[in-house]
Amino acid sequence: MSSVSKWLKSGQPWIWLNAGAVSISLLMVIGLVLLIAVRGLAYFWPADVMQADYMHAGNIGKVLGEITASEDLSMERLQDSGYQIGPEIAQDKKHVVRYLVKMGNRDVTGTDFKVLLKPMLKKVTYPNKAMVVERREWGNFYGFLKALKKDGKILAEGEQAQAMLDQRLKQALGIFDEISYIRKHDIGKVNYSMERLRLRERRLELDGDTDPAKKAAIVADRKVLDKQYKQLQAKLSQLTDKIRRDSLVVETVDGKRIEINMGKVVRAYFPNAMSTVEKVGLYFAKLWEFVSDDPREANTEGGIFPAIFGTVLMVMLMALLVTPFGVVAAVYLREYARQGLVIRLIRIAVNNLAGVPSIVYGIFGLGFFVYFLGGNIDALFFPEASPAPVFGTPGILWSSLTLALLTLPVVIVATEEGLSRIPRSIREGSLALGATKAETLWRTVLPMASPAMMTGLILAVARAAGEVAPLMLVGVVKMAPSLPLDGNFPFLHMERKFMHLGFHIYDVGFQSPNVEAARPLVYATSLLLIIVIVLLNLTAIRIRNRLRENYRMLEN
Amino acid sequence: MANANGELSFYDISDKADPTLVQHLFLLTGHNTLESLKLLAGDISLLAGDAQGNVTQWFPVKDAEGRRVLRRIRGFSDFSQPVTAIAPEHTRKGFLAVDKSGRIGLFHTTAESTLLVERVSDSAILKAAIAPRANAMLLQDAQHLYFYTINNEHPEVSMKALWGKVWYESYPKPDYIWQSSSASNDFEPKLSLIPLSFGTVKAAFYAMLFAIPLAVMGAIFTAQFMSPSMRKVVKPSIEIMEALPTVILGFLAGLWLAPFMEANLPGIFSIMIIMPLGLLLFAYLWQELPDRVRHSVPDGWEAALLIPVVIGLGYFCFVLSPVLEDSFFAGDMPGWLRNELGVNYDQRNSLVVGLAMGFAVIPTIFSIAEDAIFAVPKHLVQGSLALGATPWQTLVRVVLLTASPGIFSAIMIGMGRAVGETMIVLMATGNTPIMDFSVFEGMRTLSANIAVEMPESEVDSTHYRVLFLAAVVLFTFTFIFNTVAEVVRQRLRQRYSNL
Repeated sequence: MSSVSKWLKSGQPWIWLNAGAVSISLLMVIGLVLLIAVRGLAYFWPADVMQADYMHAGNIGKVLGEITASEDLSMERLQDSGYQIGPEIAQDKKHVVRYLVKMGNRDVTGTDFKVLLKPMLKKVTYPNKAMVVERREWGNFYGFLKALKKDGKILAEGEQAQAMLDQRLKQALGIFDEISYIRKHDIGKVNYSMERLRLRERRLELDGDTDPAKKAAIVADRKVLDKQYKQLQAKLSQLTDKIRRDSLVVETVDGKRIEINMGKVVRAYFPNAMSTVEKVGLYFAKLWEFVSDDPREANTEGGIFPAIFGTVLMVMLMALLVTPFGVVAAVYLREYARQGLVIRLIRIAVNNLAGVPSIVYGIFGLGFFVYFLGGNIDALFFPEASPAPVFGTPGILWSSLTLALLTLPVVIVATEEGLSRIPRSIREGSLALGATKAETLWRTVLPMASPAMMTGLILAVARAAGEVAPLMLVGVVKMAPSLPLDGNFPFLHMERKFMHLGFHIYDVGFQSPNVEAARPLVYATSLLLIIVIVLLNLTAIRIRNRLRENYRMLEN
Repeated sequence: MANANGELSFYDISDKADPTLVQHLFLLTGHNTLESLKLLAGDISLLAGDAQGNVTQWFPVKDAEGRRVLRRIRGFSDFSQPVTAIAPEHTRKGFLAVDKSGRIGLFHTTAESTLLVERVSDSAILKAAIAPRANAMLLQDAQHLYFYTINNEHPEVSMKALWGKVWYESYPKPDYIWQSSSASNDFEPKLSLIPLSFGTVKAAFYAMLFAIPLAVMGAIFTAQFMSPSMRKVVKPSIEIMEALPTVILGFLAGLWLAPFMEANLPGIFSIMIIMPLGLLLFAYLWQELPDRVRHSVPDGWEAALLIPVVIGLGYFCFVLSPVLEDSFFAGDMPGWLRNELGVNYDQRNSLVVGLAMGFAVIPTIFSIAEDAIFAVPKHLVQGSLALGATPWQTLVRVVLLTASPGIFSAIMIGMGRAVGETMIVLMATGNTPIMDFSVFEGMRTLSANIAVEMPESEVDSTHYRVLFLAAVVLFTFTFIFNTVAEVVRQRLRQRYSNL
């Protein structure tokens, strides 16, 4: 016993507890990243489709779908959740396994998911003919392919239909791409030009300019646009007719037959019949769709390309704004300012700025940038658009400005650290050779400190990419109709609202009507965001470490 | 029904065929007469003006027997002459009153504020009316008709309305309530910032409870005992932990941790006890192992050695969870809390927020505290060790003492971060503005409140301005924490350079 008390007295146990704190912290980080990685990556895997009979309260039903979650549940909790325990569960059991089965077919059954207990399931099979159809509306369909139709006539049935499916689908997807290109690109362009014409006309009215030549020019332009629009519309309706001709006849597990228009199908596959190689292929196809495609179904399906694009563009604009400010401020603080009370206060202020809650920046951005600056810009430069605001409403410019303010301290602190690490000998050498202070700064000090600035910038970008709260007030939206960068003059539309990865996570995870269905997508989005941010941070850390080594060598 | 003596009978006419007398009471005391009686906008409150110049507000409140009886809520005694007329505003809870000496007064009931008292006539004003948008009034005395425009933008706000207990219409007692908007037009906005500030402090408190021990202890070990090569791995990992977007932490807290915790509540609690005990037990057993085994792990790698132990203990706790639940909590701990202890259990509660936000705050505290401890001059440590103190004695008596201002400032900065954090609390709580310190219930913080309500509030309305005020309050909180921390840190730096 004495050895225990001696050991306790030595303080060793406390040291071990402290060590434990480090391990717990490390494990939490690793665990969190792993959790997101596993769940996020699993989203794209085409899971096997299970078919089973289930018994509940004396009724027998059929189910076809993917098991998306399973948990071990005590009987008490089960009863608390309002479940009537029937004869299907043995009386003496204390725990049961509960599955969440995604059975799709929202248009037929009303819900995508079904909660089933393991003992309820009988005759579980994984039929090779089970088909999954990803659709543009109503979510996935799970069922069996019966026939392919064209113009209401049956093209092929059964096995034959299955063989022909890929080819027909490819054709339909080709047409669909054409349609969406016309919709988004061509018609978008015409609409945009129309709007500009309207504004030009309104501007003339406001200026009191009654020059008939100008007016005539507008009328002529409008005529051309109208004609273009009509042509596009005609082409579009032709294509729509073409895509509408093909359809799939499918049967649900209950034997209900429905027809799915080929234009509504994104992808159709038979997961149980696929080999692992095919599944891997499909996995990467889905992954690619995720990062390159537009969202569907209120963001809960499809890709997240606009969100990635918005995030990247916003962060780039922010970097452009924050770098000059941050670097100039740091150079002044470190190189020129006399170190005294004022500078001490400024330092405290900069550090304080770093600690201000991001939502406060958001409020500031909304009050100052959006309503004050934006409102005045509108009144001065865009009177023709009134009452619709141009810059007087949240947008990407204001978002990047707000985030530039938020990340300013990061850049200042990193740059200052870089400047302070440059050995005196180098400055003095330069000055001794006759260079002025400005020349020394410009030719020797700044180039040497540039990796430090880079570090600051990378950290700022990483911080900005993950920040959501202020953006909710100054420019992010759930669904932006058009990207802030497109082919219409002036190409970069700083006043537009944009989509953002972080906000996408919040919105889909918490505001979408079908959270259960959207959850895997949120994990995938989180994973993407984490990868980007961790890579940025690792780069910054690498640069910083190498920099420190270099300076250490210089000093010796 | 009332008479000039201030006798009032309160009838319930919800059953038109059989009206019942609910209450018979006197609105006035002493030698006084009732001069005017009006219903406040919304038709819940009664305003009574008397001969002594008082205006009192009355509305029905449930009494001990559950009957709704009229009670005097508040009074305004700015006049000394009889109140001749009262004109309530049409959409807000303000009103205009005039008296016999020709003075007018503008009041707001919820804010309990007298906005204006002014003489407009030398004789008594007999009648008064207020415009539907409350931006003009019409007054009449014996000879003249007066028309005034009123500029009265945000009467709902007063110190008392924001920070004090206010007796709102239809509430049983004065209370702190935040309820900024509702579907109906003549709704009384409840703009108390107290529940929101309380929620902010509560969230920060639980987060710090989780974060401080882990972060400070981790910092101590990393700075003082860890081998340099392991430190090279640990520090960047913690920095990456700091960089994780809070929206992801919030999403995980709300959609993964909250249901997980509900399902494994006994496991979560047992981990808090089993983890430290288990670690100590392992440390003791390790110490008893033969030297050959012990020396195979170099000094400063204890944390790495403990990683499998922590995993094992954590796993054990969650395996234990259903067993504990079955044997002690009737198979359902949240249900047990509700039924046996009467404690309400929200799925998204303070425990979830504490863990998630603690996770976000740990790296902040850790890296600043670690820097402070690591910067303690080495000669102090070596001197202490050379005099025969054990490493632990050196740490407690020398290192921590020197570095304590740095650790303090680390905690302050962490606190500032926890107070201002938005996304985690927004996603991991139910966002109900309640005043309850229970760990199993949620809260609404100032920051989350801004994020939720700002996009829906009308520009320049009272609500919009109060939200800006909430941001100012939040800023003040963090400004104080950060400034204190920064000043302490600068002092510390000077002290180190003197040593």
